[in-house]
Amino acid sequence: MGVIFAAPLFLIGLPAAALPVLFHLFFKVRKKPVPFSSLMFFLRIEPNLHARRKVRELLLLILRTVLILLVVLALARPQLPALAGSGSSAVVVLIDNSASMTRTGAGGRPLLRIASEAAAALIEALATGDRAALALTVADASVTLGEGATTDTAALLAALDQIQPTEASGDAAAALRRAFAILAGSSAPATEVRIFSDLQTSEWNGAAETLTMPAGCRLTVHPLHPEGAAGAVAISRIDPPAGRSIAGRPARSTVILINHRDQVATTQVHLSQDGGDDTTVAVTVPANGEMAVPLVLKPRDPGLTWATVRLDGDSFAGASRAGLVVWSNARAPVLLAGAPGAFGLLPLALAPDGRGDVSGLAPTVVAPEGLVASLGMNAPLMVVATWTSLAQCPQPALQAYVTGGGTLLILPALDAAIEVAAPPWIGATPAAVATLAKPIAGLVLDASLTCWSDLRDGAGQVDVNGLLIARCAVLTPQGGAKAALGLVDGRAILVEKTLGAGRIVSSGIAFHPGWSNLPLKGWSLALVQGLALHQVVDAGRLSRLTAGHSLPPAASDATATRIRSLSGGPLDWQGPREAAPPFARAGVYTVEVTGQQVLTVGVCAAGSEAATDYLDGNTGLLAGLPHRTVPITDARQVVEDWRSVRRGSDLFPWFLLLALAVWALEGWVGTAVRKS
Amino acid sequence: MPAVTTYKFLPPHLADRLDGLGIGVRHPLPGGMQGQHRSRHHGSSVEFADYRAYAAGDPIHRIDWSVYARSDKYLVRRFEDEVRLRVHLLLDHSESMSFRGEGAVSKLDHASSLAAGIMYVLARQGDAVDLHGFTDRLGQGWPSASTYDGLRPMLRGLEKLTATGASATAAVLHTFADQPRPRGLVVVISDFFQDAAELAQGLSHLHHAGHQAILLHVLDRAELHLPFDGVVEVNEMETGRKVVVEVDEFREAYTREVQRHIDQLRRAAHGLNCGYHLVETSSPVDQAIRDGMRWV
Repeated sequence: MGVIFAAPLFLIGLPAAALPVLFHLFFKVRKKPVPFSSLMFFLRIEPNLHARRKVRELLLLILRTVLILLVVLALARPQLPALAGSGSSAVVVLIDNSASMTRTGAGGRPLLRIASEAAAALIEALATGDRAALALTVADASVTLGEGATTDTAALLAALDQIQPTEASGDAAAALRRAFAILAGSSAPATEVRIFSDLQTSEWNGAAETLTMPAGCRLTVHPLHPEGAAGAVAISRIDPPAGRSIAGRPARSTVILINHRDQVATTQVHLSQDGGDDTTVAVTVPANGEMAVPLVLKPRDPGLTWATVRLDGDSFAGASRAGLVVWSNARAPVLLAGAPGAFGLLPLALAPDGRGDVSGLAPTVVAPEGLVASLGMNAPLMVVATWTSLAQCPQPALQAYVTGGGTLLILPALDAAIEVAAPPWIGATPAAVATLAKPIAGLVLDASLTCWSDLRDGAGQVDVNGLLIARCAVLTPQGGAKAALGLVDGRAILVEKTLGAGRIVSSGIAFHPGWSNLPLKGWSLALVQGLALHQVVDAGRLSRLTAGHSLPPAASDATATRIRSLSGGPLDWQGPREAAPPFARAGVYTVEVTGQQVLTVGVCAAGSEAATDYLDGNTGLLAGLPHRTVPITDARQVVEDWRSVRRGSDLFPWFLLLALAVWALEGWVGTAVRKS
Repeated sequence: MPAVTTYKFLPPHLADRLDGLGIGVRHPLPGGMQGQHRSRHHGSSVEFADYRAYAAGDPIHRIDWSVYARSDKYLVRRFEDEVRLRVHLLLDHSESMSFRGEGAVSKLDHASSLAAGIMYVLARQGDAVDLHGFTDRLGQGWPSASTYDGLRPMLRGLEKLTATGASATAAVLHTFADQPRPRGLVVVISDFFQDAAELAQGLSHLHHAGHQAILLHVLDRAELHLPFDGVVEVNEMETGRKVVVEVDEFREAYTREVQRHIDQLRRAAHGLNCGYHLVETSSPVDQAIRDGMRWV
């Protein structure tokens, strides 16, 4: 992009710059050689007459040449650098529509609105033939961007109107890549990317070396910094209920709040369940800290239960919402294969009320021989067998059940003196039941095993202090099984083995006070029920994302998919899953494939958007890209800048001033020569 | 009547104009030979010595008409009590003397005419004169003569003199002063393109050697006023050096510098009781001799 001339005809006069040289040569030729008697007096007057005069003559020659050049160039009205010269231009307007742009800027207006208005004004200021395109840092499905640069300003303005605040964190690098790709494919002689962004650090602090700007492309950044921006409380994430939820039973989730302020913040957490149950919790979040707030959902019916979480008070509006999804199950059977009295207090532990209304578990005693039919009809959460009845169970069916994701619990029958040869796939072999001379304390051998999930504390430890074993059959782990609980001497009495998608928990003690005091321990209910309930039953049905992220990959990404919103911003998108846009706003969304709902997505706002760290335009992603920074407060400034760039800077006054300076210098040197 | 020979630098019309001219000395000269000039040595004044043949330029009143009546010969009487003036002519014939600007002749030609005229006047008075050419060193010279016939070799020699080489007048004056020769009047004809202080030292050397001196400063009018216009490449004739000057811008300073040099020379000469006369080549030779030799 070089200098252009508004009056190029004057450039015809450029050869006039050679006149001083020609005159110099002419006079040099015409210089009269005069034989003279002596140079004595000449050299007395000016000892270095020849050399100094030559230097001054050369200086004068240069000055006069430059003077003529400057005058001619000034008359030609140089302009630098017009964006497109006499041709058309292509510009990509890149708008940061991330949640942080909801903060207010000049005049108390949201930054996103300032950016949109400026972009609209810029598009309206485009000349005929100019092309433009939009790019967003958050690919919002509700905005129709088009494929490339277009001359259809009406479509561009319509797209600008569609831009609404998001609750997502933007991908600035992706947006820049898209902008550069559009311009790389443009045939316009001049191209430019105009960025309207608050340059929030979390989004723009990327590696610029991954971006390559098309040759000749200009990059202009209009930083829009919020006025008086202070950190606030935002939703960082939501932890779903641990384990399986049962319809009718409370499902406990946790919302993690983050406070970006330097002082304590007070906020209210509102939970609105789809059925209309609302709860509000007032919390105080420490300065620059996090706080976990428990939320209790009450799924009434089996299936999907969703809720929205909203913050009030000292919260950042752009990151104050989240969609929460929970999958609840109906009361599920637990099949007890064996004699009714062989399981001790286990049925009571599984369903204290006898019906399963409390635990969601309905224990049912079945004959081991009829287990095949029972498995087909009841889809049990867990199958419980005694070491004795295990041999009577149809092994292939039971193994298939476990491999398919079921849980198998094996324990001694109350009256058994077991010493059986268990099938190898079980992973444990029991010894003969022995009554200990005196009760021996139980010891957790591996607290990381799944059976302890509901009993682990925050440090990952499981406390079974007070557990005493009076009677047991010591187990020998096999085939990859691990000992979960043992006697203090290290002998295993509870072994867990993962088989396929399910697991097998082998016990050497019966669930009866005659064997141990385990049934008398309150946590034993959590242990027993957790064995049944702790299955990833909602896998594949639910997804929890942060705004700005897309659907996780699926086996068939090309499948026609429809995404609709249950709560949050309206969204109804259809297309191949691989092309699904990121979720721009918090809420709950359903994903359907060929009319079937296959996934429910709970989207949480991007809590990082509440941060108030901003780059200065010369760092982060932009550090390696040549660009200019033009701060603006309203659309008029953008238009003026665009016209200035489009028109180019008029260099006439500068050339004229320079010519005057050279003229003055020439006069001074000339006078010095004459005086000498 | 003897045949009259024509010389380039002593044409008849010049000789005619010089006929009434005499060169005398205002100060007593240490002369070994008697002539018409006053001498510090008192001898047999107004005593007849001999005759010599009349030579063109000799005053007619000195012809002994009685002898003419007897012998039909023009003889001039000579007297022993008159001290003869011995004049040494030093003529600069360096390359710079060949310069000819606004004058009708070159400086060397004009200087040669001056020398011839002076020799003629002196010979006509019966004074002895010798001639030495010089450039950067003293030339061999011609033997002294006090008759018109005796001047012939010198007059012919002047015609053969060519301008060549660089000049070093001061050094020549030192050399001349160091040489054993009769003391007398030294007439230096040159353009004196040398530092005035150095020339003054040479002149002082001459003075201390017992000579009186006259400087005839021959310059072309162009050397005084730079009659050129515009940018001129000035080539020094003696060395070939060149400078380019805008004459119009340079003339004033040049003229001032030349005048300063002349003034310095004049002051140096007068300070040593020597004569100095600026001779422009455009001025008549007889007038220059009359003015220049007035000092003596």
